[in-house]
Amino acid sequence: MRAILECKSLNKKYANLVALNNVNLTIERGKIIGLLGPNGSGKTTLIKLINGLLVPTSGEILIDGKKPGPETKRIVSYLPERTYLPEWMKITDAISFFEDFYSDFDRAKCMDMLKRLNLDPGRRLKNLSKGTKEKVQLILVMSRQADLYCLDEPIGGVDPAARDYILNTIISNYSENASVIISTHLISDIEKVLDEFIFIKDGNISVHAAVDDVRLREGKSIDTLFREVFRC
Amino acid sequence: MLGKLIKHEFKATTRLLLPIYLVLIALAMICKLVHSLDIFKGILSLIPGTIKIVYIISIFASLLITVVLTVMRFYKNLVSDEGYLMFTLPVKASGLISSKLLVSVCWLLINAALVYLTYLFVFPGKTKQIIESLLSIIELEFGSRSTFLITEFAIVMLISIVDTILLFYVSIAIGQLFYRHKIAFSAAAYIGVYTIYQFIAAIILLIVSLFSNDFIFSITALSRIIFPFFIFFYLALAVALYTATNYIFSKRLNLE
Repeated sequence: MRAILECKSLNKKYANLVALNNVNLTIERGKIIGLLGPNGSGKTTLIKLINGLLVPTSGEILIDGKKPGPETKRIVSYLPERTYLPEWMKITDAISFFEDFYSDFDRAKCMDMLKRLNLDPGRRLKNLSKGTKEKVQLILVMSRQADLYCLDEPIGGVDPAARDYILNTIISNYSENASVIISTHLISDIEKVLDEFIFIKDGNISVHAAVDDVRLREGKSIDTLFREVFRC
Repeated sequence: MLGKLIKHEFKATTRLLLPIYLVLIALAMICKLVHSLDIFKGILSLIPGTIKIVYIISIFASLLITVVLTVMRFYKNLVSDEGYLMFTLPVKASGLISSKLLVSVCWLLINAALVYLTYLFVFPGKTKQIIESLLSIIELEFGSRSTFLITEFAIVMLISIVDTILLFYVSIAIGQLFYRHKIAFSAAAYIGVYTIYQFIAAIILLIVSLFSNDFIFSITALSRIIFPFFIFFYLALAVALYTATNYIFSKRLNLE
C-alpha cells in the first residue's frame, strides 16, 4: 500500500527564515506519529504544507501520492493550533457544516463524544472558553473517518482529565489504514500512544524512529531522549 | 460543492445583512407614516423633513454597508483564522471565490430592489413620474432601440458591480502573499490595481479619440459601439481579476 505521506527534499523559507530545510520523510499507514520539537522548529509549517495552507519553496509533498488539493483534503482531517470555527456558529451549525462538506463525517459519533464531554450542542462558540472550543474542534476533526489526521497541539489547552479522554478517542477512533500525526511538546502525556516519533529542530528532521526501538535500544523514554537532544 | 458553499455563504451573510435591510424597510415605513400624518406644526414641522433625509441617507448607507460587509467577510473568512477551515475543505479555490462573489452580487441586487420598492412605497406618485419621464426621454432619443439600450446599460452596470467586488478580492489575495502587514499591503494593492486599470482605460479612450469621427458621438454609436465596448472592457477586467485571485489562492496561498 502506498505511503500516506511523502516529503521529498521539502524546503520552506519565510522572508529571511528557513522554516523547513530539505525534509525527506515517509509516513506509512496505520501509525500514530509524534511530531516533536521545540517552539518554532517547523512543526506547524510542515502540517500547514500537508494541508495546502502554504506552498513549498521547493521540493514536493505527496499525500497518498497526490499533491495537496481537493482530492487530498477529502482524506485529511486537520486540527490547527488555533480556533478556526466562526464565532457566530452554534456547535450544531459547525456539525452541519462538517457534515455537508466531508462525506466521511459521522454525526452520531460526534454527538456521542459531545455528550461524553458534557458539551451542549446548542451553545454558541462565542460563549465557550478557549479550552472548550479546542475540545469541540477536536471532536469534529476526530468524527471524520479520514486516512490521515494532522493534529497540531491537540491537548495544549485542555485539562488533564479531558486530555486522557481525547487521547483515548484518538487511538480508538482511527482505522488501521489511517495514520495520525500529533504535534506537541507535551511528550510525556502522549508518549504511551505513539508508534513512531520525529524530532524536528530548526527545520531539520534529526530523528525518525519507532518508539519501541528507542526504548529497547537506549533504555529510556522519548521524553528523556527529547530533553537530552534539545537541551538548552 | 458550489451549491453547498453558496448555501453556507447565504447563511453566514444573512445574519450580517438582514438587520440592515430591516432598518431600511422600517425607516421607509416611518417616513410614509409621518408624511401621511398632518399633525406637525411649528418647530415640529421639521420632523417629516428630517425623517425623509434619514431615509434617503439610509438608502446610500445600506448599499455602502453591503459592499463593506461582504468584502470584510471575504477577508475574515478566507485570510484570517477562519481561512484554516475554508481552505482545508475539499473544494477548489475557485469554488470559494465564486460562491462569495455570487452571494455578494445577489445581496447588492436584493438591496437595489429593496431601495426601489421602499422608494415606490414612500413616494408612489413621484417614483412613477420619474420613471415614466426617464422612459419617455429614452424612447424619444432612441426610438425602437431603447429596449436594447436599456438592456445593454443593465449589463454594463451588473458587470461593473462584479468588477468592483473582484477588485477588492484580488487586493486581499495580493495582500496575503506578504508575511507581515497583510491589510496594509491589501490596501496598497487596491490602489495599485485600480491605478493600472484606470491607466489602461485612459489609453484606450485616447486611442479611440484619435481615430474617432462624428459617428462616435451619434445616437447609434451609443448602442452599437460605446456600450458594447464597455461590456467587453468590464468583462475582460472581470476575467483578469478573477483569474488573478484564483491563481493566488490556488498556487500561492500563504496563511499566517
